[in-house]
Amino acid sequence: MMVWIDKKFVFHILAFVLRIAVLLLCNFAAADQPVQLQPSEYEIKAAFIYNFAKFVEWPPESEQAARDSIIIGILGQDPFGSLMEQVIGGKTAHGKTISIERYQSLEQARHCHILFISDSKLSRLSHIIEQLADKHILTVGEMETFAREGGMIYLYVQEKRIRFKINMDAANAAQLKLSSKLLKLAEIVRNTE
Amino acid sequence: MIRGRMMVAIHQHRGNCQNRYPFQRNWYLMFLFLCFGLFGSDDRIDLTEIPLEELMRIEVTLASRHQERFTDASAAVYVLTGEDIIQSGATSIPEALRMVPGMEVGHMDANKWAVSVRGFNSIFANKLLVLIDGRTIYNPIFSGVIWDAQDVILRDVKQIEVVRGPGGSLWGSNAVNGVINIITKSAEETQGGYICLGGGTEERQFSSIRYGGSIGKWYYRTFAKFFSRSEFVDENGKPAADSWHMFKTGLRMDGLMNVQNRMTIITDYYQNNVGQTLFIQNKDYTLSRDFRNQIFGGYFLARWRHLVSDKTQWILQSYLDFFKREEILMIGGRVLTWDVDFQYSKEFKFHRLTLGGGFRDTWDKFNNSEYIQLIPMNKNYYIANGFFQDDIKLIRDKWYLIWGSKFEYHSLSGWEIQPSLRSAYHFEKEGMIWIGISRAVRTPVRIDQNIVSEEFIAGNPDVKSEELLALEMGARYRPVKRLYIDASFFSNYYDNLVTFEPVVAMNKKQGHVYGFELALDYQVAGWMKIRSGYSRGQSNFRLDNDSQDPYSQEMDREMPRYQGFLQTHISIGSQWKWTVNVRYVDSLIGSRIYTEAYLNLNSRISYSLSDALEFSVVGQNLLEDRHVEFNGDWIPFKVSRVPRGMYAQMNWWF
Repeated sequence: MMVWIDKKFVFHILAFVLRIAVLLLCNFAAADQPVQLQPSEYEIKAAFIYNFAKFVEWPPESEQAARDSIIIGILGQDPFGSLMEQVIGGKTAHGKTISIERYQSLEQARHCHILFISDSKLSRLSHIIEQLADKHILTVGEMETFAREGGMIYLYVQEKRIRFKINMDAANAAQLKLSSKLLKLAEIVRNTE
Repeated sequence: MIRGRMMVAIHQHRGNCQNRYPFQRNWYLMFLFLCFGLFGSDDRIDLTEIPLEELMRIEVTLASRHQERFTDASAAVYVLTGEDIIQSGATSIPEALRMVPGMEVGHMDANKWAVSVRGFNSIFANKLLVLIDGRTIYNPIFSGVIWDAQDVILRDVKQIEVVRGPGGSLWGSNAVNGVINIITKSAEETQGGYICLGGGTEERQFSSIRYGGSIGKWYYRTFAKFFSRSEFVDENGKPAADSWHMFKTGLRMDGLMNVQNRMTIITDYYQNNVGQTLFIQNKDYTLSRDFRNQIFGGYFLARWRHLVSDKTQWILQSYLDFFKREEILMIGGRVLTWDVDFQYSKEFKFHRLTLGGGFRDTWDKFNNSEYIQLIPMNKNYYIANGFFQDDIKLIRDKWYLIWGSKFEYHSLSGWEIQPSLRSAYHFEKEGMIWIGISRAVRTPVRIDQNIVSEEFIAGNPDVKSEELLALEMGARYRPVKRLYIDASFFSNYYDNLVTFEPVVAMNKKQGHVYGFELALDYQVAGWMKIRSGYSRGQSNFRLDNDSQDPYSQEMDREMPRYQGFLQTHISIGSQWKWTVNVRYVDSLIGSRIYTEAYLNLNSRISYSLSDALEFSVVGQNLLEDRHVEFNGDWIPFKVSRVPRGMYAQMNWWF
């Protein structure tokens, strides 16, 4: 006579076993899905750049503000491949469509809104920053000390998540208005010199 | 000795398995991903619809940039992450290494370990090269690593990379059976304060404090660590005389001068007090006595990394290392080492070339005793080396060929050439196979050449390098995202192994060691992860007909035929974590060694009160009151039994 086995207790055990089984099943099912659960680094970085376009305002008197599209430029070797187009192609920000351009030299880059400076331009970074000083272009890069070297937004990976640092001195100098939403989420740095 | 940098990629490869899926934390994303997972086919999620704060929580698969993954994927590499180490509850580097497939770790007494891979284990296991932050800790007098002087704050370890198999073509001599690269976090990754306090039965008390901050372009961290470990026990369960106390302090600075230049400065000082029992018996006298030994040491390392462009970089590194063992009768002495190393790498369209060279100068002075002497007592010697490695893309992203060699001149033993040829083939993203052939040597050290002792042998200045020709192959496969399998096979042919002939050390032994290692990581669910490893090894040694080495009469069972571990890690909510490690090691039987097989279990439970405060309890060796892990060697230390233990720990970040 197993009187001591409470019905409620048995029910709990069964429910627990069922939950485990369902969980495991779901997991196996999920594992076999062709869908990529984990997006790639540059997919998310592209989405970050889209958000920068949304949350930055260019000075009204600037050439950038007058344009009827938002131009995102990639200077140097492009690490995004087609991901930039896939993620933000055809989207709009500030009511304007976004277009993506790729440049090999700085001369071509002077009219864009956001310039992603690829690591391949590493040895020329200080020169590029200097040349863009009066151009109202939001510079984005991935080099270790990008923000401290006068770049505006440094995108980096920490514990597999994308983070960014904003150099306020550089953004102010270019008269770009960054929304409080960006500033809240970023780590703020200053020019070291 | 800066080659460790190249291994980042493989970490990413294996690391994928441990990812928490984004929906574990975030219902919003879970919903999105599930919707698309179940109903969407080709549609991608519109990432621009996701708010920025959510984007910041998504874990990403990292793209390989500067370091391409192929170089080290063509060897049996295993990476222990900092998190793996913490979860295992290990309190020392050798303990952490138990969780690497194929690694042979035997705790001999409270402060001594025998650590090796693919055989040849001993307290002076001399075929494994170990580096901490690019500084070799291979002992130039005795060869091998003396673990009682090696310690780091385990929370500050970024990762431990273990290469099983020869690494001579990059790392030079003594990287015969494997290379271990212990890499600590950079100063900018360890900002803020950290305090750890704890104690227990074996780990009697321990504490560490670390603080990291920044000044201008420099990040720094400084730390101090103290621990006091209890004695192990003897065969009757009585305390042995092997307690161990250590104090260590250090500073690391990382200067991010600009995008092209990074400077790193690391300096450490430590002071140890270890106990041991010597048991010496000969025709004149019998001695069984407890000794306490003092060990002091420290080092200063500076490294400059310069990125010429995103395809080209060079690294210049130099360090000065000093230690002194005040050890009675046995292995006392002092050693000063100066090392400088340069490495240049450039990526071309179809290949990547890495070139380098270095110089190491060593001064030593041995404490001669009535029992053991080195003649001459002090000596100065150097190693000069150069190497190249070329990674060729035969088919882009698919088929790679890697060849290279190291050329070394040892003032003690002459020229050595250690070439290697490897190839790797990748099947899409999920799998790869690799194959390699390489040569590596273990060069004679002072003790091989200059030892004088009635007890064992006399050194022989003409003793030759021990040689290895290794054939290896392996495969990695990820059939589904949460399962990762890594298998490697090796067949090692050794020649000129050193034997202890009556009168002098000679090279009268050859051998063939073969086996495989298997690693399997399985993310059962977001909250449950399994890591496991299994290895098999067989050896056949042969002595020359005229050899009379008493230590090599029976030697084919000196490495475990089987061993394995299974680690289960469970997260209960976000606050509780529970880890169980089970390990099994086969018996060891030989002329100098006899150890029974053992099965044991460690477990750790931790509770995070907040992001800044964590408590944990660890049970060590729970299955037996006491057991022997590695018994016997040609040095007459008394081996202790490892008792069951328990400790509690508090971690506080501020």
